[in-house]
Amino acid sequence: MIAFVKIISLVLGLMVISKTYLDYKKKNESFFMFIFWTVAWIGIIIVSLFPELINEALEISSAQKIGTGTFLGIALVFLFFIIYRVYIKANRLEKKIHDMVMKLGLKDIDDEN
Amino acid sequence: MKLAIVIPAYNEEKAIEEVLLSLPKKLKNIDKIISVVVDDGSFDKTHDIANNHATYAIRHVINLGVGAATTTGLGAAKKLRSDIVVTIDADGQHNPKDIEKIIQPILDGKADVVIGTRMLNAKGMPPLKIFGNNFMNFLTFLVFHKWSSDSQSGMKAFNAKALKKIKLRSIGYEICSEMIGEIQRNKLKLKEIPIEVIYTDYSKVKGQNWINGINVLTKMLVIKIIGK
Repeated sequence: MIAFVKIISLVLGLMVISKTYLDYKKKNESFFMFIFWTVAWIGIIIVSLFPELINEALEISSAQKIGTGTFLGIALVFLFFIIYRVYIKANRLEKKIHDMVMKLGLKDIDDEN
Repeated sequence: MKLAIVIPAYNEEKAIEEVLLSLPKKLKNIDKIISVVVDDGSFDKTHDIANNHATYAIRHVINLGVGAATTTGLGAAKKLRSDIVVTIDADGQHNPKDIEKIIQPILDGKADVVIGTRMLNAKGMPPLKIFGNNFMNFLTFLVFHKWSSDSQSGMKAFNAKALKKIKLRSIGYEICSEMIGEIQRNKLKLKEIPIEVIYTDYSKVKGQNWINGINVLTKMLVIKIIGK
């Protein structure tokens, strides 16, 4: 089961990195964003392949040892916050596009008095 | 009294001409009937056909969804100072003769919004669709606390007061549920009138699917939690 999760993480990570690279090549993404996503996903792949690294990293970095569960909890809260922000922004954009398309569609209809 | 018949359409070249030609030309207590087709960025001949047969043919520059097209149609009806607005589907599943029936409670002053319900006479409706519609009714009730026997019906009638008060933001199929929420929020008088459903091979493949139900639920919750 753990091996299966590792393989899935590896495949997903490589897919995202290749997609980011293609987007960068097509100039749909900036160099900074390409580097950011590549580094982030390489990090995710490394952690999924060697989860014991989290414990070691926590031991090195924390004066007071916190458990892996706490670390993952904090990560989950952070991720949900990002998802929430992205969702809000997508909703706002959707509304703006809707308003714009509606205005364009209605511009030929004159007010009838 | 001016009646606007709003028809949101997306790639409906096979059915929309017949729908437009079958619309009533005269109705009791109605002085003027106009048809408003909102082509939601179709890539077939829907817009050309609408241009030939509808009073107003509006075009979305991109495809957004049935909710967006309906909102644009309602906006057009408002701009055109319509007293009553009826929405019907472009796939031919509604019988235009039912328009007279669903506007009657508005003309009598007994309702602000009328839903043409397919569920009170669901003869010919596939069992899966019946289950799916009831499931959506339940979800809509759960989120907006207002029961409708056919919350997902595309055939509805609104008076000018309802048109003014209802504020919609959905762009997809969730608009039907959002309308129920708006009827509840604005305390509008709702009536349901049984209508006929014409299920052809063409209209059967149109409409919502199961995956869309999950999407509708998510969007309803977003509307409820985040607001407009």
